[in-house]
Amino acid sequence: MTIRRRSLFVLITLIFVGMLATPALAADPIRIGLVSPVSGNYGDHGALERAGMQMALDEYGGEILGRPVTLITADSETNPDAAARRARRLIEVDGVKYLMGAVSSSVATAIGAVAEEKDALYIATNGNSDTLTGKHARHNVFRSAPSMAILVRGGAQYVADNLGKKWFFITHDYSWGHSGTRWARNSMKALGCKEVGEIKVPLGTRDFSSQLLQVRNSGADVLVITCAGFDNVALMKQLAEYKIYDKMKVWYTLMEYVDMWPLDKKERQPYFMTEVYWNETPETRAWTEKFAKKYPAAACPVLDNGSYNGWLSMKVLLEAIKKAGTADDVEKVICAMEGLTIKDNMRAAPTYVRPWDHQFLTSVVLGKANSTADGTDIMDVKAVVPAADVARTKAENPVDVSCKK
Amino acid sequence: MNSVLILSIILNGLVLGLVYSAVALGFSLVLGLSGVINFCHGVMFAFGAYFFWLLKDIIGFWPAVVVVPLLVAIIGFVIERVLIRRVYGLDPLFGLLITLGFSIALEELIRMIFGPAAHNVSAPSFASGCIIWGDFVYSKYRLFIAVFAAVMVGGTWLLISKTKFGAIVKAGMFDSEMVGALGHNLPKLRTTVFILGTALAGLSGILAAPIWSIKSGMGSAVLMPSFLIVLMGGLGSIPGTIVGGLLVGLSSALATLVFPRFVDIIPYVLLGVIIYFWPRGLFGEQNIND
Amino acid sequence: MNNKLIKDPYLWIFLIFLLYPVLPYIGNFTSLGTELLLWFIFTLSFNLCLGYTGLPSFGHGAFYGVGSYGAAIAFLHLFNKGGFLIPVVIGALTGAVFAAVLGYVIRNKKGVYFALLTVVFTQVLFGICWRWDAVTGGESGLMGISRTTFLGLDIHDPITFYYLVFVVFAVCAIVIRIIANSSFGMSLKAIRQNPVRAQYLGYTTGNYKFVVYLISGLFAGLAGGLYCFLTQSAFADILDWTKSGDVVIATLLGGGTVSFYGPIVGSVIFLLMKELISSFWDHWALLYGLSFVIIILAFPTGLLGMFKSK
Repeated sequence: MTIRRRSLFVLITLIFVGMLATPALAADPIRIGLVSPVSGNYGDHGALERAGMQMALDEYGGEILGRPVTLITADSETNPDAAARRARRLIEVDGVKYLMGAVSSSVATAIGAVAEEKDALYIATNGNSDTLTGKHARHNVFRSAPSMAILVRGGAQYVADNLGKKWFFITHDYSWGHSGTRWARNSMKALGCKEVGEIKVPLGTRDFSSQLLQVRNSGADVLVITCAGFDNVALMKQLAEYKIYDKMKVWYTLMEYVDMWPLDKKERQPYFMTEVYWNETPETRAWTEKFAKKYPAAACPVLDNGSYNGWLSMKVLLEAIKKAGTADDVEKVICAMEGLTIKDNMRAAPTYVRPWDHQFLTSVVLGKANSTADGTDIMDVKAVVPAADVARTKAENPVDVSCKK
Repeated sequence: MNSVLILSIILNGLVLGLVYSAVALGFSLVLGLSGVINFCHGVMFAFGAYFFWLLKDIIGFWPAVVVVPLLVAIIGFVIERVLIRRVYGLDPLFGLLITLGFSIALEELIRMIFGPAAHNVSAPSFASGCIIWGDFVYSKYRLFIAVFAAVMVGGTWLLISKTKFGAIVKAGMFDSEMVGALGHNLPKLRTTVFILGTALAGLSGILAAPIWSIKSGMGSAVLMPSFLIVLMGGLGSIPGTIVGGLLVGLSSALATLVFPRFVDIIPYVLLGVIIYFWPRGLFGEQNIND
Repeated sequence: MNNKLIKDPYLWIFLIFLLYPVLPYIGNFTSLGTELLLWFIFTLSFNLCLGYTGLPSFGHGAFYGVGSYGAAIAFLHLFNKGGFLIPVVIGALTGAVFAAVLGYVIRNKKGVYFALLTVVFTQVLFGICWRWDAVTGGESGLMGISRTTFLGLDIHDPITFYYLVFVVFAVCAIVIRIIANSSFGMSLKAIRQNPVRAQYLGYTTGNYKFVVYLISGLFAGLAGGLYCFLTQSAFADILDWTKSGDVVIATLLGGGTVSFYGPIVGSVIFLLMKELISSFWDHWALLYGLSFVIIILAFPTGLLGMFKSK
C-alpha cells in the first residue's frame, strides 16, 4: 500500500473515531438507557417494549423531580456480547445511570453484569429465565417479567384438573426452555400426573414435523410446550397441520400475543400462560386504545407482555426515583425500589417489588386461544393469578441481594 | 416405537429432503454453472415468500406461483448487473464476501419494508388438510410440495445436462475466452443463469411459506443448509443436490428419534465426513473450484 | 536509522494508542479501545493465515471463543475465582490446541473446501458450547470473572487494564511482525502464491499451514482470554461462524493481503463503523451491508491480490 493510501486510511479512521464522540450533554436531564433489540429478528419485540416505556414516561409528563428525562436507545442485537458493549458505552460515554430493556434472558444477564460492575441500576424488562432473580441475581438488577416458576405454577393446577394427566414435553433446547419444562415437571409430579415423554428441540428449528409425529404417537393428553420466538410461529402452524389438537390438548408455559397474532383462526387452539391480556381490565383496554392511536404501525395492535413490562418498569423506576428524592444516587434509588408497591398497574392485584430477589410480583394470565374471533380479541382469559401466590419461596431460591444485608 | 411411526418419519424425511433440495437448487445452479457463491440466495428465498404473501389473495395461488418468481428474478437481474458481473472468473470467495455484505443490507431492507414481525400464509385450499389412514397422518400440502419440488429439480437437471444452454455455460466456467471466441454471448448466458437461480430461490420460498411461516430472518436460516447440501452433493451436480438434500432431510428426521438435541448439527457433521473422504462431494466433478 | 524509525508505522500506531485514553470524548470509551487492541492482536495473527498463506479460515472465531472460555473456566474452577496471568495463558493454550487439531486435519485442503471445513468445525463447536450448560453455562455464558490485581496494579480500573492490554498488544505485534518477516514468513507467502511450485521446491506445505494455523490460534486464544477479563464473562456467541466472518472482513478491509498493517486499519474501520452507524440509525444494518460491499469493491487490489495469485 502506498504511503498516500495509508495516510488516507489513518485519516478516515481518525474521522470515524472523532465522530464517535458524543458532545457532553447538560447535567440536568436524567438519562435512561434502553438496551433493547432494534435490528434483527426481535426488533419488533424491542420496539414494543420501548413503546411501553415511552407511554409510561408520557404519563409523567416526560419528567420526574422537576428534571426532564431523556431516553437513549442502544441496540442489543439480541446478542449478549454486543449488548454488554453498548451498555458499557451508555454508561461510560453517555453518563447513563439507569438501564432498562432486553427481551432475551442471556442478554439481560450480560447487561446485569455490566450494571453491577459500573454501579448502574438495571431493570430487566422481558427476560423470563429463573436465573435473573436466582443464581444471577444482583444488587443492581431488578426484573419485571415473571419467572418461569410463576408462570408454570400459575396454571399447572388448572391443566391437571381440566386438560389431562398424561403430559408430553416439547422443550426449546436452551436454559430458558429447560427451566419451563423443569417447573412443569415439578408441578406435574406434585399434582399426580404422569410424564409420557419429552423432546428437546434445538434453537433455530423451523420444521417440527418429525417431532410432532412422535408426539402424536405418544398417547399423551397434554402437550406442554416451552418454545418461543420465530421457531414458535412455525411450530404453531405445524401443530395444526399435523392435527395435534385432534389428539390432545396443548399448553404453552409462555405465549406471546405477537406469536399468535399472525396465525389463521383455525391455528389458534392452545391453552397458555401469558403475563397480561389487553382485554383484562378497563384500564388495559384504555391503555390499548391510547397505544393504538400513538403507534398505529406497531407489530402488535394491543397491550402485550413486551409493552406492559416496558411500561411497568419505567413506572417503577420513576416512582422509586421520586421516593428516593434524587436521581443521582443510584444506591438510594435501589433501596427505594425495594418493597415498592404500585397499585395503579392496570391489573386487579398490585405490583410488589420483592426486596430479597428484586423480582416484580404482578399477575399472570391463563388463557385459551380463541379460534372463532375476528379482530384483536383472540383469547379467552381463564384465570388471572397473582404472582405472589405462586412465586418461588426463599427456601426454593436462597438469594438475598437486598439493601439491608 | 412402532413401525408406523418410523415409516412416517422416514416419509417425512424424504419429503423434507425434497423441499431442501428445491431450496438449494437455485444456489447449486449458480455455483455449478457460473462459479459464484451467491449468499444472496437466502434473501431471494425470503423475497419469494414475502411477495407471495402480498399477492396470493389478490391474484390467486397459481398465478402467484408464476408471477412471484418473475418479480424475484427482476431483483436477481439487478444484482447480477451491479455486483455479480465483477466477480466471474475470480475466486469464489470473493463473490461470497460481496454477496454476503449485500444480503445483510437486503435483509434489513426487508425488515424496513415488511417489519420484523411474522407473517402468515395458509396452504392453498386444494392442498390443505390431511391424509389419514388409521394411525398414519400426513399433511396433503407437504405431499404437494414434495411433488412440486421433484418437478423443479428434475426440470432444472434436464435444462443443464440436456440442452446446449447448459453445456455452453459450463464450458464458460473453464474457459470464458474460448467460449466467447466460439461466438457465444457468454455474459448474456451468465445473466440468464443467475436470474434462473434467483427465480428458483423465490419459487422455493413460495412453497415453504405455508409450513415454515414468514419472518425477516428466514433467508439466513436456509442459506447454510443450502450451502452444505450443494457441497455434499458436489459442485456442479444437480443429482448431487437432490442426493444431498435427501441425505440432510432423512438424517435430520431420523435424528429426532435418536438424539433430537443435535438435529441442527447433523448436516455439518455429515458434510465434514463426506468432504473428508470425497473431497469434491459425492457426485462432484472436477471443476474450477478445485 | 532515525529516519527508518519514524517511517515505521508501528511507531505511530503505538503512539496513538498510548494516548488513546486521553483523547477527547473517545477516550471515555476505554472498553472499546481495549477491545480494539484485542482485535488487533487477533487480526494481525489471523492475517498470517489469510494474507500471508492464503488460508481462508472462517473458523478463527472459534479459537477466540474457546480462549475466552478457557480463561473463564480456569479462573472460576482452577483458581477458585482468582488469578489473571495463568487463566489468560490457559486461554491462549486452549486456542492453540483447538487450532492445532483443526489445522492438522485440514492442512492439505485448500480453497472453498478449506473454508468450508473451518465453518463446519466452528459451528459444531458452537453447538456444543451452546448446549453444554454444565461447562460453558449454555447461552447464558459464564459470569463472575473479576479483575483484581496483577503485579501490584489494580487492573479492575478500566484505564489500568487498557494499558496492560496495550503492553501485551505491543509485544504481540512485534512478535508477529518478526514471524512475518522471517524466512518462515517468506515461505508462507510462497505457498500462497503458488503452492505447487512451493512443493516442488521441497516445502511440505501441509506442515507450514499447520504451524501458521497453530500460531494464529495461540494469539487468537490469548486475545480471547483477555477479552474474557475485559467483559468479565464468556459467551458462546463469539463462536458462531458469522463472528469469524467479521474477522475475515476486518482483515481484508484494510488490505491485509498487501500490507502487514492492513488488519489494524481494517479492525478500526470495522469496529468503529459498526458502533458508529448503529448509534445513528435503527436500520444501520442496511448501511453496514452496503458500505461493506462498497469498500470491498473500492479496494479490489487488496483483495484481488490474494485471490488472483492462486
